[in-house]
Amino acid sequence: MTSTLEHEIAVYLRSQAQRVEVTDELDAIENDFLLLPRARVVLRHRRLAPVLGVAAAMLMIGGLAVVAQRGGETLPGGAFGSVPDPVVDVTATPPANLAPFPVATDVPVEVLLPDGAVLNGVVPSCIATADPGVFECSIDAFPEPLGTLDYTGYTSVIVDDTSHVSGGCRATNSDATEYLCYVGDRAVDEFVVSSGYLGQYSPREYAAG
Amino acid sequence: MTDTDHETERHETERHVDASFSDFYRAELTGQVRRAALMVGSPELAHDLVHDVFVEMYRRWSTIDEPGPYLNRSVLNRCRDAGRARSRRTRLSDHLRPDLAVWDSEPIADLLHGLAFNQRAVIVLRFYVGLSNVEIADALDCPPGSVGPWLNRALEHLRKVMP
Repeated sequence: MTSTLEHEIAVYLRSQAQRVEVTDELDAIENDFLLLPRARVVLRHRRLAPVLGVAAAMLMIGGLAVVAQRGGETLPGGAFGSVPDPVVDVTATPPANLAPFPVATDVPVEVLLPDGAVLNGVVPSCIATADPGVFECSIDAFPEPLGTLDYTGYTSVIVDDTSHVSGGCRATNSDATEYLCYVGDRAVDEFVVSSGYLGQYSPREYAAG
Repeated sequence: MTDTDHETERHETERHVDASFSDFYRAELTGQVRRAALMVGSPELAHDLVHDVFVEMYRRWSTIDEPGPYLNRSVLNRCRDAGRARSRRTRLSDHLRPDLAVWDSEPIADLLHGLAFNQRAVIVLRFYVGLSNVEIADALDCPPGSVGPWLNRALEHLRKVMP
C-alpha cells in the first residue's frame, strides 16, 4: 500500500516537473551581473531586471553626472547582447518616457541583501544606499518578544545562502525592526561583526538570545 | 612576459571561466528549475530563484570550489525563504486583501499545496530527487531525526488527497 503510494507520488512529481518549461536565461545572467554587481533587486518578473539594475546602480554610484553625460548610449550588454524592454518595479514609479540613464537620486529601490542573506532568520526588506556596502533594512517583527527594553543599537549578523556570516546589522529603532546593514568587511569596520566571525558558518535560522 | 602577453592570458582566463560557467549552467538549469518549481509551486518563481543563484555564482565563479553542492544548497535556501514569504503573504492576503494575492499565478504540484515547506521539500527530495533521509537532512541542514516525522506527516496528507 505504502509502496504504491510512494510510486504514485514519484510518478506524479515527474509528470508535474515535465510540465515546467525551462527558459535559457544565460544572457540575462550576464546582464544582471553587469548592471548590479553588489545588490540584487527584488523582481516581480525576470524581465524587470535591466531597468531595476539601472536604477539601483544610479543610487549606488555617486558619479551620476558622468552617467548623464553619456546621453543616448546603450548599456554595455557584453557578449550576450541586449535585453527586452523592461517594466520598473520600484517604490516610486519612474516617468513613462524613461531616459536611457535617468538621474534617480531619490528613488528608493527595494533590494535584497547580497547573496540572499537573511537577518534574524528572515529576508529583510532593504533599500540600497549610496554606499554599496550599506543597506537600510526592515523586518516585520523581531522573532521573539522583546518586552519593554529599547533595542536601538542591537546588532545581529546576516547569513548568506551558504550559511556563512556575510555581514551584520545594527537596529535603529527601539523594537529592532529597522536596521542599518553592512556587508562584508564594512560590517567589521562598523564594529557590528568581529573579523574572526565574518565568513564563519552560522545557521540561517534565528537563534534566541 | 609583456603587457600584451598578460592581456592575452587574462582574456584566455575570462573565456575559460565563461565557457565553464556556460557548461555548468546548461547542465544544471532544467533540473534546478523543475526541482525548485516543485518546492515552491510556481514555475515562474522557480525561474527567478534559480536565475538569481546563477547570477551570484557567476559573480564569484572563480572562487567556488564545488559549484554543484553550492548551487543545490543556495537554490534550496531560496526556496525555503520563498516558502516563508508565501506563508506571510498568504496569511496577510487571506485576512486583509484577497485581491492582492500574488502567489500561484501558475500553480503546479497542487497535491503538495497543503504541505509546510519542510514536508514539501522532503517529498520532493525523496521521491523526485531520490535522496535518503540522511542526504535530505544534509540538504535541508536539519537533524536527520526530523526527516522521518516530516515525511510521515506529508505522506499522511498525500494519502488523503492523492486521486
